[in-house]
Amino acid sequence: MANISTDVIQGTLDMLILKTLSLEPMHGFGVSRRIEEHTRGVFRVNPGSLLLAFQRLERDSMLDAEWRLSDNNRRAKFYRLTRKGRRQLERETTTWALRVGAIARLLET
Amino acid sequence: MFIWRNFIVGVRTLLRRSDAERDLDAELRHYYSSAIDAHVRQGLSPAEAARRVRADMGSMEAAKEVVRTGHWEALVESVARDFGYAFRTLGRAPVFTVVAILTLGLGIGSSTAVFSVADAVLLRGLPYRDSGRLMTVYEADDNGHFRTPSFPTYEDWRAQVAPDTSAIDGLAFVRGNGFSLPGPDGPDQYIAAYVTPGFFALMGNHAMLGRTFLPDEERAGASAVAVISYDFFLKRYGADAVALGSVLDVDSVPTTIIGVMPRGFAFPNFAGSSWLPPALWQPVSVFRGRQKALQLRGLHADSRTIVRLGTGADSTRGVAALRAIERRLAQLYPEQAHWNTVVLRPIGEELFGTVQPALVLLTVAILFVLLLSCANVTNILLARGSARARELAVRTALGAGRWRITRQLLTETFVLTAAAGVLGLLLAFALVGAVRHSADGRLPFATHLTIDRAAALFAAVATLGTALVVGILPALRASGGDVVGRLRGGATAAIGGVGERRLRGTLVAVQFAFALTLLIGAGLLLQSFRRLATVPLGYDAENLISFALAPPSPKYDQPAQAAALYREILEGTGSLPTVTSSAAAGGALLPTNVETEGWPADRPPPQALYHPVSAAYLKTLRVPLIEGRWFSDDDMRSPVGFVINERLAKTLVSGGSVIGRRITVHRSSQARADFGQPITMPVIGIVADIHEYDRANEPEPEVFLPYTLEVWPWMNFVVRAPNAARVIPAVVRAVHDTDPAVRFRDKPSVEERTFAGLIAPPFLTSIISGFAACALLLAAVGLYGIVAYGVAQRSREVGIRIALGASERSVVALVVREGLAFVLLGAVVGLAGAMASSRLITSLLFETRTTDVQTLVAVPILLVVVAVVSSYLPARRAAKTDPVLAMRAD
Repeated sequence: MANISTDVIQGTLDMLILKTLSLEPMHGFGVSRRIEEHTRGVFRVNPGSLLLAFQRLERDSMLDAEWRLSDNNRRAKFYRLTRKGRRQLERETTTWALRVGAIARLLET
Repeated sequence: MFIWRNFIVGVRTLLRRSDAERDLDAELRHYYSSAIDAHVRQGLSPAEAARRVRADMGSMEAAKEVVRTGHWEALVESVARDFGYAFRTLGRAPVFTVVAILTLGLGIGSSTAVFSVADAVLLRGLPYRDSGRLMTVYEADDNGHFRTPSFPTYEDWRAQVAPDTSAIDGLAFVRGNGFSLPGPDGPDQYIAAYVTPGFFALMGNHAMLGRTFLPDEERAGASAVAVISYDFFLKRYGADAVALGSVLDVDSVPTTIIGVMPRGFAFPNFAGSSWLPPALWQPVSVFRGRQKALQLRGLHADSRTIVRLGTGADSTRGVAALRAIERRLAQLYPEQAHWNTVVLRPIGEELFGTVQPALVLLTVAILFVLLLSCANVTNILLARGSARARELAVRTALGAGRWRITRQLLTETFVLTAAAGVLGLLLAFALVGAVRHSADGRLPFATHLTIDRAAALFAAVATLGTALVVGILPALRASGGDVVGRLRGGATAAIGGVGERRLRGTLVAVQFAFALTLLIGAGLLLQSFRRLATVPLGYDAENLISFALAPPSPKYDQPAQAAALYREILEGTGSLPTVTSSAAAGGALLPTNVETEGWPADRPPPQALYHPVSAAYLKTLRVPLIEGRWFSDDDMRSPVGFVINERLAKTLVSGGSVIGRRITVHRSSQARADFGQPITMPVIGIVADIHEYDRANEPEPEVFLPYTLEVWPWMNFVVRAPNAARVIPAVVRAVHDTDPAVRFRDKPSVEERTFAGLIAPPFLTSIISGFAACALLLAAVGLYGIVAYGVAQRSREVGIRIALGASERSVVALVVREGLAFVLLGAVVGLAGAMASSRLITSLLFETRTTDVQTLVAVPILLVVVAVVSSYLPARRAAKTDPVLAMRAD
């Protein structure tokens, strides 16, 4: 059970966000819930860190945001992956796989 | 792209914080309510769901804070807040703020001004390539007399030095000569410099526009060409390139301008002499045939010979090379044989003369003043820190970190010093303008003094340095320490304690040390000035108007024409109401040989200043006649003899009278065709020695002759009248009435010229004294502060003492004694400092040693008196303490 602390695994949070948004545009709570569900509660995201990460990614042109009505008919800010964000996700997925493979091999020996 | 977008968004957030806040709020609200809904959907009551969400995610405010502080603009905002707070805090203490800004501003401003002058003179160096290797050459005799080499000697050197190229790279000869040009109101006087081939290459300078001379233009008989100076280019042509190729009538000779030198290039250019920077340069060969001064080996003109030492060669090798040639020349020209030594002087030393030591002294003095003002402001800040101790303790208790408070305090100091820096820069502009104005003509290259990039950089560094020096100590002290103790203590207990008093006392001791060092320097200069002022001049300098005239060419080129003009001006000014007498005196600034029968052949003939004078000269200056007679009006018409001064008389004969002895001098006016011809006449009188131009040096030997015998091409006049200053306008009118075309070389003034020598000039003395006074004032204020502070801190103790029966006097004595302990410590250190730095000042003193007893006694006494007064005031207030109030406080 770990709260993601931004300054420790900054890159990981960014990657999780990008991956989650690659399925469909989502608002903040949606992303948070999706991460929690998909990691079966291993990662829990603190709202401040999550929104800060959104803003940073938005400033980096990885995400676009717009205000829309959500399912429960309330105004929410929806984030969508840009083309640059998608490319970044691919890059990070590749390096992540490499890294995980390397660490796994190291731990197996 | 990424940085750009980050920047834009950040700036938008900064400018429209409320929009960003509203967005953030709405987004978080949605987030939280969605989370609560999710829990409700799982069957929790809304209240329970809200509690769970809050426990899981923390408060919305905390989340907002994470987002707010996560971007770069948050830092900007926090710094801006610091500044806003600093402005408010400073605004609440206007007196402190103004005093601190003024103190630091004065320090920064004056040190920037001194820096820009020192930079121009000491650091930036001369506007010549590798100027350290440029040397001026002098010939010297066994008696230590110097002269500049004549043109023929230069030519021999140049011809013979060629084989030995390793010691000397090259030689050049420069001769200055006045010329006039028609101006809007009458002819203007300028200086032309005649230069030998390769002069510009030797100095290492190229023309800014056009070119320098071609070999063809430097041949005898070539048509006249000139390279002009930047200043002349600006003044005469308004910096219009049309100047190139235009023709200038230089002394009525059509001369083509072929080049313009860059701004700042000037040679010859000497401090404190009558040499102006040249307006133009011309090849010497063109004038060689016409000018006697360039042909005679034994007569040295207004000229300089420069050598450039070879790479890696020192001046000893240069001297050796030239001296070898000089010895060969001595065999060829036996009459010049006694000039057997060659001396090289670095060109910078000659150009800047005693300006250099004076500037070093000024720089040291101003740094002292800057440090003193820093110490004072530090002291005030420490006191403020103590007074605010409780405020800061409260903030610490509420969660402000030590770094946060230090940063806050440093921001305050920075605001103070930045304001002081701006003030200082303005002040520096004003000061440098004033220096440029007053030093023009006395300091070479003075016209190029400005606050340039280097000076602005210096001001910025000085400001930042000051901020750090002043701010660090108080900030660290105020932010550290025991919070609880401070919160608990009252106003008195909140103040630092013994440690802090000792720290501030040390600052005061340092201040007094600096102040004492400066005061001793100022005292020595004043003492020197006093002694200089009491040197008997040998004549009556009161109520004398002096001026100099340059008769325009070609109207007065003939000696008879100039003589007639001088006579008319003497009559015109002499007959003005209240004028008692009017006289003329011409003459070269360089001495001439005086030959006499029976002078031993192996000794060089004595030298004397050569003065053609009018009959009223002795009467006008009120110089005593020692022996024989002075010139009568008849002598002016038909000269029969010379008058000499006592000094020359003593040199010529060891015993008996010199009256009637025939002596020979050579005509000294280089502009005349008969330059160098001998005049032989008997001595008819001896007059007393006078200090006419310079108090510091012994009077020179002088020889006087009627002005009609050698009509000097320009003339000094002296007019005596009671209330002389009021007669000046009438004198100007009388000169213009005689001939409106005549220009003043020096405007009429009653100023004494005897302080013209740069030894301890009144200007320097008054500046250093001003600095010393500032230093003393700053130190006194500092001491007052520490004593007053000590008294406030111990008011309870004092109250108890008084309640127990201590007398008012004993309380005062107690407090003063403590202040004095710091002062005496500082005085001892300062005395040592003065001893250590005495070398800086020695060369500027006249008959005053750096161990001058009067100064060394008077200055410490003054210091102690000031210290007693500035600690007595708060001490008396302490003694008046009401014991009941003091003990009941808090």
